[in-house]
Amino acid sequence: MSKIVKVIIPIISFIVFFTLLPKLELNQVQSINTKPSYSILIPANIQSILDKSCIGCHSSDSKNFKGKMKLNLDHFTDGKYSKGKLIAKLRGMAKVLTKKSMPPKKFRAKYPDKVLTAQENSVLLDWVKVQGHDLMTK
Amino acid sequence: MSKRKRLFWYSILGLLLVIQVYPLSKPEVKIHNPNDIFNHVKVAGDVKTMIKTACYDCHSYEVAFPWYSNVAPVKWQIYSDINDGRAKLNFSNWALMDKADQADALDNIASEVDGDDMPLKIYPIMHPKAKLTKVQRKKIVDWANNYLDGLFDD
Repeated sequence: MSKIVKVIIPIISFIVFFTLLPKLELNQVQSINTKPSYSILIPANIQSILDKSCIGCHSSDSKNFKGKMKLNLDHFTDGKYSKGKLIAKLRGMAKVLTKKSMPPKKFRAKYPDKVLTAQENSVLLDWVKVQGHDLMTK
Repeated sequence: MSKRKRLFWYSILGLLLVIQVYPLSKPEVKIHNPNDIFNHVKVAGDVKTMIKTACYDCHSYEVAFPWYSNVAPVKWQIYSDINDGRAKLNFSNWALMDKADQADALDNIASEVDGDDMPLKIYPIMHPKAKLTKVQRKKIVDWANNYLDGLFDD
């Protein structure tokens, strides 16, 4: 009796294990597929503009809570923004850059060297528009 | 009352009467809005009710003007709040907005409501139902974020 159990149990568990294994793997693949993470490649010229004028408030290290909540540029590359969020943030940036209202007035007065030049503003605006458009058609 | 005091109060009263005639166009009201968000998107009943009571006076064409909204100088503030609110987001025009603008609006709804920046602090004073609890805020924020996450699924 005990000999039969000793033989049969490993055989059964062996069979069960290998019939379930592909299903487990399939589930994992599916769960990855249903929640794709999006990230944006930031070219060097754009990164240097962001570093100069935006990242001070709009990154995970920022002490400006509101600035960080409204836009965290780190999440452009770490996949933490959904596709919808990314499109929303890019459109928000486009609006703000069109109005030329960022960085805020007080910040511009305090740090004149961090003001976006007209050239930088338009380069960043164009890039933001293209990225938003690309994401929407993806 | 001394003569001086009386003169003071009469001049205040006179000034209040004079400012009433300052012309200012009233924000347009429309009852029938085929492009309204709730004609195009299914939203859970309680979230819809909260948005209608806490947001619609400034963020739609369906404005309920209370009696004091006809009295200057309060009128000036109310009209300017409504005009600003509609310029930023008008739920009555939802279906006319392009999808990225809808995304931007939903993201802003989430952050403004979460950060207690909306409704404006002054609004619930006369509209107590618009005073949102933490739980209510979370419901609106979750709705906006979920809607945004699914906006580009098709």
